[in-house]
Amino acid sequence: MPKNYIKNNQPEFSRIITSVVRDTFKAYFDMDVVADYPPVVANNLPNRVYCKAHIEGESLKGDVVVSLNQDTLLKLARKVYPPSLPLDDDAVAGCAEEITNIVGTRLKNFLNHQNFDASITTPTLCTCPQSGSQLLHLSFTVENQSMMIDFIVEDERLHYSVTQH
Amino acid sequence: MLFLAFIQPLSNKCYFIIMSIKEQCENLRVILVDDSVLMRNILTGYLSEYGIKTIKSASDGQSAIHDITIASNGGQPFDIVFLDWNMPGLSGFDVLNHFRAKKEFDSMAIVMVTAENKQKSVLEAIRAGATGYMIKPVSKEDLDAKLPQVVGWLQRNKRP
Repeated sequence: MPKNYIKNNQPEFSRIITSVVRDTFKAYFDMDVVADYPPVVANNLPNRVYCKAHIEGESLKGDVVVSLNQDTLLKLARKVYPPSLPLDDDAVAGCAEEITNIVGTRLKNFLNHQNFDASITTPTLCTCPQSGSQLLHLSFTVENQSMMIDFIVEDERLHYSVTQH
Repeated sequence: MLFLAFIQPLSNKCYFIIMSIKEQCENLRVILVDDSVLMRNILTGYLSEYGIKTIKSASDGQSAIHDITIASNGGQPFDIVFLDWNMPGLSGFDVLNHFRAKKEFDSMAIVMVTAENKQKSVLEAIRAGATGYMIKPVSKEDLDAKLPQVVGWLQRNKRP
């Protein structure tokens, strides 16, 4: 069962997500990002942008949710977009969606390595945290704000964390 | 500085011509196909450092097919397509298959740029005719390694 597999292999899942987050922030934003230990658990932080991609297989349905402070996303976008380009909601969304795409696809492919036959949807912004339970929860400090990555499926709640310096 | 050496046979004589990658890239026409604004800007930034003057973008497969076809019909074909895989509507794989089925695009390099890191996806794309494959996140160093290979492929597959 995928839920049991994820529960029993949380360190490996965490390592994979942490690695791809680190590589993404280094390549795209020239930033060194390390995960928090224990992870920041904070609901209803102000000014948050939530982005999700739905992962679904025969015996698995869940959402990868990436949340970041909106101002942080603007700073990230400014690192990439030409100075002449005004930063708007699309720029913020683009940043969040691409991070979610890369993290979610890596997670999906790791699940499929175990023959779970999962697919992933195009990431979209969502307005609030998803209902359901977290099988995975990680946080990273980006520009002094917390970025959280969750994999939320039905019913089960588990916390896992990684560290930051 | 990266260099590409290639040999041009001419009347039983061979000439080694060494040009910088930048000199070869300046006149290339490139199109970036990705629904992610962030990715299009990142790749534009990387490619601009090579002095490439013509860098266009398309945000979905259908627009890409339209723009690439129009450019070709207008006598200004694209040389390189950097193509995302997962996009709403037509996928990058659909776009790849579309152009590899048409002989007039045999000289156009198509490089997949995607978060799909499964070996199966890479093999599928190469078998379908992708010139190259880059896995996101794509760094400037990744492009530095890939671009000379693509330029070499363009030289070997020049339009008649």
